[in-house]
Amino acid sequence: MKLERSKDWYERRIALEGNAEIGAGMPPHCRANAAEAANVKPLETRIAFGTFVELWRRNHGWDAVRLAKEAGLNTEEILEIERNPQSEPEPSAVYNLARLFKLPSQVLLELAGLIEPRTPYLRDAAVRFAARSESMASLNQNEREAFEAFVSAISEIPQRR
Amino acid sequence: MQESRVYLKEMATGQLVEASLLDEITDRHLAMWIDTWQPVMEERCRGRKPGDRPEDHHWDWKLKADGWRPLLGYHSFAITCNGELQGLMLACDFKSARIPAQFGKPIVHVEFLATAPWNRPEFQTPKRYSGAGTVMVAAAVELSWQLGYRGRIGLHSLGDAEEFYRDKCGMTELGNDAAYQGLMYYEMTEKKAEYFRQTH
Amino acid sequence: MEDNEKRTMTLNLTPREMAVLEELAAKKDLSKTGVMRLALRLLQAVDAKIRMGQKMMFEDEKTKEKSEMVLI
Repeated sequence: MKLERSKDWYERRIALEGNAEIGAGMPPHCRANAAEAANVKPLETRIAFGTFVELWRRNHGWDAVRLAKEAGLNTEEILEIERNPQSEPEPSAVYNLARLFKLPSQVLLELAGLIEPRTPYLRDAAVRFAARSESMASLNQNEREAFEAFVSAISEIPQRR
Repeated sequence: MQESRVYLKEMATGQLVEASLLDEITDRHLAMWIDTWQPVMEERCRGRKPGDRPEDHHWDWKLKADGWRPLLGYHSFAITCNGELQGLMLACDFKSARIPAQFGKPIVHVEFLATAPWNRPEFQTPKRYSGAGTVMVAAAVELSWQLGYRGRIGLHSLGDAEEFYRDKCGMTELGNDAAYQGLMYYEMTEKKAEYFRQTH
Repeated sequence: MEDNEKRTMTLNLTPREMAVLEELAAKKDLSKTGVMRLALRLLQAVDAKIRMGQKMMFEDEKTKEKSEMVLI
């Protein structure tokens, strides 16, 4: 597609834009609302999500402060995600974590209960994972296996937008 | 893939400078986004509460590209100037108009439109270049024209752009859209599109 | 839009199909070719969503009642 306008046209039109900030599109909170509208009951998968975030962090030898820094989040947000499944995380926080973990954001959003469940077997896998994982100072063999199996399971799920 | 010569205004000098509009976001643009745009955005988000972050900070253009590239109904655009990325847009061409006079007729819907952080007053004032938003709206109108949609376009405005779309582009405000987190939805009529293309 | 090299095909339609095509062309303010191309783009986009495991839903604006459109 070719856009052909005179220089005068740009002069006039850009004067109207001035110093305004121009953007359009889907904001970060829509997905949460969509999940709310769909009456999603996310508690079980959200427990797995919190556990997963915690184990990922510990597997890297990071504390919550380091994870928050690397993900561009507040430490309180990380602790809330790890410890309070009743609390709904911000979609943007989940996006940041997905980017850091190099995992599909859609699957993590689904685990966090921010979008309607649609990945077959994800809930079951999440519940099994949460059940096998216990909070300990360092990952034991069982936890490491559970963690790695879950990473592998979510990595294999095709990415969605 | 076609390139158009467009203009942006360098705010520091007040001069129009030549820029390039490409009707496809290429891998080169995505690499520029990753190397220059995304780090600035991440730095901006660091330590800020979610509500204080730019509304589009989570948009992953690289991930989005994998989704839209095989689809005929999506059209992507990139603006570059002086070797730097200045704006990105993704539009789709199969949505329907909502204004009663053109209800049900196809429009070009702007799915995502973002200007580079350095072209936003939130990051630097005055912004480095003005006009990336204008060029993108012009591109959407032109695409609509070429598809036979007579310039009809629609979009959901982010942030502070409502006045720009309503008062400067002449788009009709159609209320808050519950499906888009209550964002204001705007549509351009054929008549306004013609006016936008030609005179102002 | 970059495909300047266009291919021509003959499309055989029944009278009913042609009537629908003409009606849609009038409603959408498009040529009959425009309608067919729009239909192709729309079907491809919907098919891609369905393949990703998503559903196509319609919502009644007044009642907010949702119904799923099943695509064959």
